[in-house]
Amino acid sequence: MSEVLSKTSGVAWTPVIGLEVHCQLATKSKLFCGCANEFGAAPNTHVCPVCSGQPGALPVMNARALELALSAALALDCDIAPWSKFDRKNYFYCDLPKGYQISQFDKPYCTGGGVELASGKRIHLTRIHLEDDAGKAIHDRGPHTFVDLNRAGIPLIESVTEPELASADEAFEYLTLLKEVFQYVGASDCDMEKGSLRCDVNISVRLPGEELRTKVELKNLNSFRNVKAAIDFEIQRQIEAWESGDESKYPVQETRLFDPNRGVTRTMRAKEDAHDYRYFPDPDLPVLRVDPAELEELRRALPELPAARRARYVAEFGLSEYDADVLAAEREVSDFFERAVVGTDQVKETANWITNELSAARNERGPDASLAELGVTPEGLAEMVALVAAGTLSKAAGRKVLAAMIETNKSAKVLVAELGLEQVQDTGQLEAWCREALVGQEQAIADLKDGKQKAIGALIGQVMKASGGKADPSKTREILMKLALGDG
Amino acid sequence: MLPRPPSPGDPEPRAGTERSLAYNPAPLPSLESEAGGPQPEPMSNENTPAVRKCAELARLEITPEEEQRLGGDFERILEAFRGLTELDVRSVEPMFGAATRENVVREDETRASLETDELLAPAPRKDDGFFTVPKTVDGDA
Amino acid sequence: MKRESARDAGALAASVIAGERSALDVARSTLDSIEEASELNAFLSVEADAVLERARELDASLAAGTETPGALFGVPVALKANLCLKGRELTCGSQLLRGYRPPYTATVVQRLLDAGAIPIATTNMDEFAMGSSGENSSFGPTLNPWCTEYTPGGSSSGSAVAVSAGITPLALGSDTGGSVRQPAALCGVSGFKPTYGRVSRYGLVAFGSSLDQVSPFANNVRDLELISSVISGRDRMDSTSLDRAPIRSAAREDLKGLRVGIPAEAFGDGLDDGVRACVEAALEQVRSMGAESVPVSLPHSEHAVATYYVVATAEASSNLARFDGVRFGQREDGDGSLAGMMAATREAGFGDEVKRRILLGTHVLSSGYYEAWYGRAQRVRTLIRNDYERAFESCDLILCPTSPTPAFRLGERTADPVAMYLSDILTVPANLAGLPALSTPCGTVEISDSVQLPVGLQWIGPALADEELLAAARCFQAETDFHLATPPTRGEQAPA
Repeated sequence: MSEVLSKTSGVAWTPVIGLEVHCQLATKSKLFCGCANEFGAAPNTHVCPVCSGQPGALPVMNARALELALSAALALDCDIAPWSKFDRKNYFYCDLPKGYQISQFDKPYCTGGGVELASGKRIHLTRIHLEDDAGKAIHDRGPHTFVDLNRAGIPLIESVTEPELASADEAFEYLTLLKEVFQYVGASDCDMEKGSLRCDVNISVRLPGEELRTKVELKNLNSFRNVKAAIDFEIQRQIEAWESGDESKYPVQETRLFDPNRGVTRTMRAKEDAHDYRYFPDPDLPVLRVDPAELEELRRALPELPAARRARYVAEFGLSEYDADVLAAEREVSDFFERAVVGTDQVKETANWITNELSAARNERGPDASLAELGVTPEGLAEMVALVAAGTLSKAAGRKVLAAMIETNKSAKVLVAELGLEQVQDTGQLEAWCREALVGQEQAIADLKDGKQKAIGALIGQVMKASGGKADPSKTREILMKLALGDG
Repeated sequence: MLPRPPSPGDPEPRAGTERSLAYNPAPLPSLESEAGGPQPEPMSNENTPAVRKCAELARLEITPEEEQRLGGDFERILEAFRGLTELDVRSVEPMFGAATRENVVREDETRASLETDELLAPAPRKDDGFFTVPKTVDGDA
Repeated sequence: MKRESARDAGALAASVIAGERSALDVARSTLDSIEEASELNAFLSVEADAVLERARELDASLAAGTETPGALFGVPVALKANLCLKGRELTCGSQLLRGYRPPYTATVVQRLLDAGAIPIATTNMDEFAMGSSGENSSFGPTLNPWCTEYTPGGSSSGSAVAVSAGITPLALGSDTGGSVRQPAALCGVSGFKPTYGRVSRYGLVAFGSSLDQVSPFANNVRDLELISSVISGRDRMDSTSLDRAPIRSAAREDLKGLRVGIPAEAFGDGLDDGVRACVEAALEQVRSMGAESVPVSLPHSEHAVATYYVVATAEASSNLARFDGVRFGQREDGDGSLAGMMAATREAGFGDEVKRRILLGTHVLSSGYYEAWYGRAQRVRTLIRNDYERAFESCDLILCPTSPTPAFRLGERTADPVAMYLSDILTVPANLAGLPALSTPCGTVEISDSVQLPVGLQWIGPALADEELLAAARCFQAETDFHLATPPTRGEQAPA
């Protein structure tokens, strides 16, 4: 059981944390109309009579949204309800065009399921339901509030955990794992910066063995890091408030916003009015019944999930847990890796090329770049790796070739020839360079004879320089040692 | 039991003088005689609906005069509907709307949206491609 | 202008297609009739230029001969002010939507356009379709052409009057609890509400979503069949739209073998004597045409009005939440805050009846009251639907009066909302059960020496039996002339 020590009294308190995560589904069009589901467009350019709530407009459900929602639920081992319905959640706000959100109240499309943390602790989900997103109200653009409805109507799945998380770290891990799974099945890209993942936290603290105390809701958390920071702050804040002994200071049931600049949470509203959303079944939308055969199809079509892949990489490929983690974290990377190691034994090497050089190249292109954009195919990478393994290319040359492959989209073989990067392995030539490098290096030779290996580095460097980087480093080292030790 | 609509020459309807269009309505089973099971809330006269609360929920800035008048209408209407609350419906399934189909879905294809000026044309206030409203700090209206 | 064709859409279309009249001529004389009848206040806005331009386009396309003319070619159709026609002002009878021009066209209106009709927008109505007399319009009540001291019924008041006064041969209204059938009865025309889902609601401003249907008015059932065949059929923009072919005329020569159910509950004490007499005479006529009448019972009838108002107001309170001053309609600033703006906008823009219903609807959905009211009403609705299903085991259709009384005077029921609600007592069950129902004239009641008021006979059929229902009523009209009666001030034929 996770505990947090009070900074003031040193007493151990137990945080009780639940997360409500909203993810935008990666459909082409909105949930109930054909407007494009696209981030970053000019304001009010993806809006129609339906999603702007014009009088007389009606919703029609997007089949793909249901598929993706089901895939996400299957990936989390949820119990899929045989039928579900939509309800209207009624409230007023400037970004809510119909004056109600279409959501699911008492018959969500799935319940149960969960996520297993690295510690083995399982975080259970209460439910996941479908709903349509609201538009955006922008308050800091001028003297009024500006409303953009591009986002209104985008499909969301809202997943709610049981209050089983017990620390900020666990919350961070949970979010990371949830994001992985949703990305893997293609349900959502879960990008907090783009708003395709939003997270609210419900948090209270209690002394070990106690009943639950007052819970507080945290909103306005726009990164996983901020979720962690907000939770850390709030835990201490609540502990202090309880320990103050002053009833007027005790935590109250309210919504608090996180201020990322100052790292604190503050009250959003003076007093939380319990919302009466007056849920009732939406008469414009018929019931959704899940066809068992189609559900089985979706289940079969699920990719192998990250946890399973990680385990397999360690067991089958002998990769370290760290490497397995990094490779399995994103589906695109993982799929790439698996194709690149088909029929080779260069597993560790391939993994390194992907997690180091390819990742760096991808990051250079921007936060949203994909591996595919680099223009290097898994087979192409495999070819290059094989050349290095065969000694045709030095590792340094390999890096050059890879960079050229990214730039020109040509194959490794072609580039090696074009750039003349073939490693020199010819003993005669290498010996010549080595002898040259050893000229005037009596001290180095003496050191080497003495067993001090340090000196070899600079000598190899000399040979690499003389050879324009093409000398095979390990052969060079061999020959240098032979010459140095054999000489005189 | 519902009063019939008044015709010219009718005396003012008094509470209790209710006549129904039913030819010979059979008395319906009353709730008290049923044992067990969850009983729905009966409507009682003491339970005056909070018109002001509803007005807040519905964003209607009603005047005190309206609150008085509409409140009175409210009570009379709910009283007239009292018969509804006395029916035993425990074993009856609710009708979720009148739609008889299931799974009405469309393909995930984009269709043309409105042009921004078309969309904004009916708006009372707009600026630079946005709808504009009085500033609000956060949360809901 | 030939009076007959102002009351016969089929004949009018035929004559325009045959070149006997131009669409432009029809349009002009319709606009003239609207002008002449302006005292009736049946129309809210009419954009004459748009109407004439449309007519010219039709004439040009006919001359060019490039397309087959549609079934309603050149026929003016009046549209209730809650049916969207892109770019034309749509107020729903409310101050809140003054000046609103929808950016899209309703499916049914588009189908009318595709069939060559000339839409005449918009007709007067009770605000947001809430009312049974037209007196809740914020633009003044519509008057009954049979006697202008009387209401024409509602909420599709203007559309009923447009047809009754011979201005247009066809009109569209919406029927949520009887808002087409009841004014049809009170104005002496025919009005038809299809099975829920057979006509698209896309572009109909929603009042009670699970009850609303776009419903036509005409002077005879043949014309109802004609317009129904144009506007009905699956619409992919409406999820509640049924996957059925458009409504087509069914063959039927007479009423032999038809089993007609007569529900005792509809003929109780509250029925006006004059209405009772007309309806019973019509039933005699039906029997003489070969039908067999069968007593049926609809035991939950007495709860229909309460059930209807709980369900309809709940749905309306939600449907009308979009009128918040943000994206369309009039706006009031209020106290300058967002919430204040919304509350002031809605307070100023909505009339009393709308406020009453929004408050009631909010109440029956609110926390603590849902199961007692809305949850319960949805179950009683099932009971009512089951009553009809059981009844239809022993009959093919049900006949009863449409309205318990003929038209009532302006101001007669405005003081007591419940009294007004009871005007719908005979029409709401068909909406609750989703059944097809129509009203056809069946005589008049003499109020005084100079005033006759029409009476309507209501036909109710099993779900999806729209064609059979219309066919039976059509046969009835082939053998009777009740439907030929026209209001004395405007028609040329004296009542039979």
